[in-house]
Amino acid sequence: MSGLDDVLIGPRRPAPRRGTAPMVAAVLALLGVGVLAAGAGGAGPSAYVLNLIGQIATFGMLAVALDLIWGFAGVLSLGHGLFFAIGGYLVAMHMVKVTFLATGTPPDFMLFMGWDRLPFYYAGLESFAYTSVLVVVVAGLAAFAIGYTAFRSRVAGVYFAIITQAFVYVAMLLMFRNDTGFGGNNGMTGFTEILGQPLADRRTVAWLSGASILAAALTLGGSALLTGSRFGHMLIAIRDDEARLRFLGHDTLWIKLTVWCLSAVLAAIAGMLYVPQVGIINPRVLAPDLSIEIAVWVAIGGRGTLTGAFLGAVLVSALKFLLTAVAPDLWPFILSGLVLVVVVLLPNGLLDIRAVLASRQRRGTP
Amino acid sequence: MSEALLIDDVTVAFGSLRAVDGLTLRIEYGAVRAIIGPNGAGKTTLLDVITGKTRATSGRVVLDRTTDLTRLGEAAISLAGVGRKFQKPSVFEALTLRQNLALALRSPARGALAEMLHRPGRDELDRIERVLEIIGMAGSGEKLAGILSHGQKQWLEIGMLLMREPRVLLLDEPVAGMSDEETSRTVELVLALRAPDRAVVVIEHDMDFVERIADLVTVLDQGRLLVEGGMSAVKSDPRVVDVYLGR
Repeated sequence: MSGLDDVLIGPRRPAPRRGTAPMVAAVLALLGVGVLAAGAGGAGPSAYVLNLIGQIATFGMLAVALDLIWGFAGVLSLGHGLFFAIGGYLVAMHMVKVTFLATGTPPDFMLFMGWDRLPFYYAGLESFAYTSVLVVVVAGLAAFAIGYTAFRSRVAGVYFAIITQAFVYVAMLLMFRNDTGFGGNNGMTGFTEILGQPLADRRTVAWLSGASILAAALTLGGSALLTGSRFGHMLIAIRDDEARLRFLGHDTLWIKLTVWCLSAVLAAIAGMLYVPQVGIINPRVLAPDLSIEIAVWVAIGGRGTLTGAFLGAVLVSALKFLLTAVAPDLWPFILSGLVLVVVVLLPNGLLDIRAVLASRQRRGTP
Repeated sequence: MSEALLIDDVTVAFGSLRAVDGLTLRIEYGAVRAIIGPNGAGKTTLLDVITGKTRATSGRVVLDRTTDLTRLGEAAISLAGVGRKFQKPSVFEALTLRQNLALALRSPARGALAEMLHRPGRDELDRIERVLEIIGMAGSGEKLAGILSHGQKQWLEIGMLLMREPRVLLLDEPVAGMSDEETSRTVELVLALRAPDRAVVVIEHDMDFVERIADLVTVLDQGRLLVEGGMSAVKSDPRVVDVYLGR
């Protein structure tokens, strides 16, 4: 295996025996319940803070989804923004339609296209339940189509990563078109309500934030269970020596497809929770560099531990929120700097900091 | 002795190079067969064809006189009862010995999804312990495979194949890089694997090892069959001395 693949596919980290993920999931669940209570009670942090926490929780969920496929099965996706966007765009379409039906105010793209009605594929999207089902189905099918063709042809490693980049880029170009009914380069915004609750209310903000935190907790806890099971061992076996597993009689195509589709669906649900909170979606969410940033979260936190991915996403995106407000021009340099520090000093991510410090002490260097 | 595998006029061509060239071999149950020959004789390519890693350009590989393996994929060939140990030790280093062996519990009766959800039953767990004993690593079940020595990894990989109770067991250079003591233990292990309903095929360069395990020796040269017979006959055959053993 080449050195590049080692960087891409990551360390041969042991299967987590008693990982920290269940504990972190439990703490998160408590936090989620707390946020929900804060919403109902009216006390506690401001709507701005609750909203920020909720957005960051969806990033954490997205990172855990990527860690499942990258940290465990050794399949790096640099296009997970595609699935995040599928969830985001569908829920945006739902909210646009609900607003249009309730107020009669057409969304911007209908005005500049001169349309008097929404395109046919908005049919039924006023139903939240139907939208939710569609998020799972569309993300699952898109992942299946990409995964089946790539994995069946045994495309792996850096080649697979490049293909996923290409897909997210193609999707971005498509979404930039103004005649598709998805908002074009301006995207979709001006959402007013979700499930009958006004989005401007602090109570709704808290409700969305709490739901996002709980979803992240469920993802983390569920992924911990999954990766500790026989299925998880199969994923690690694929990462370490896929040919060996295949010659033991396992058709690795289906194992990889299963985790790939699961990861995509989780990413889509994260996107579905994100967009109502941020209040806008546009093709920028499909930018290749944003998809790479997801992988950067996971690499910075540490692959193959779930907790590392979650914390990486939380830390880096919190830092981004802070710094882009103060010095937006500096952000790319800070992010690249972080990546360099991790690659050089902490190849297994921030979670490794104790092990690295301990081994330095043993060697007697400061 | 009944026939386990028939390699029937198999040719593998890579461009103008014929790695295996019209080779016909019969491999019987109940015996250990060694395949030797100089580098580039086509030994590993032959195993690749049997296990589906490489497609034969022409010819058939027939298991039990009934199943044509050249029509099946790697996983299906493994499920049909053909187990292969790779030249370089191939174990799952991030998993424990027990987890490694448990992954070899792949039943043809279970579909891919059932296999992902499968929880090993009592008899399967017992089998894991039995195999740990056979490969001499009872008590190390919770160790990570990554910390094993080179020799122990080779034994673990053989153990993974044993979990499947294969009818045809293919071992590609099982003692390469082993110490004398490890080689001796591997001899015992391979001899213990000989069973009336199992064919064992070993590719090896170590002539002492081959002499200690093989019932029958096949010598390949440039993808073709050179000589077949008992070790002592093969060793004194002038053609073998000429192309392989050296004068």
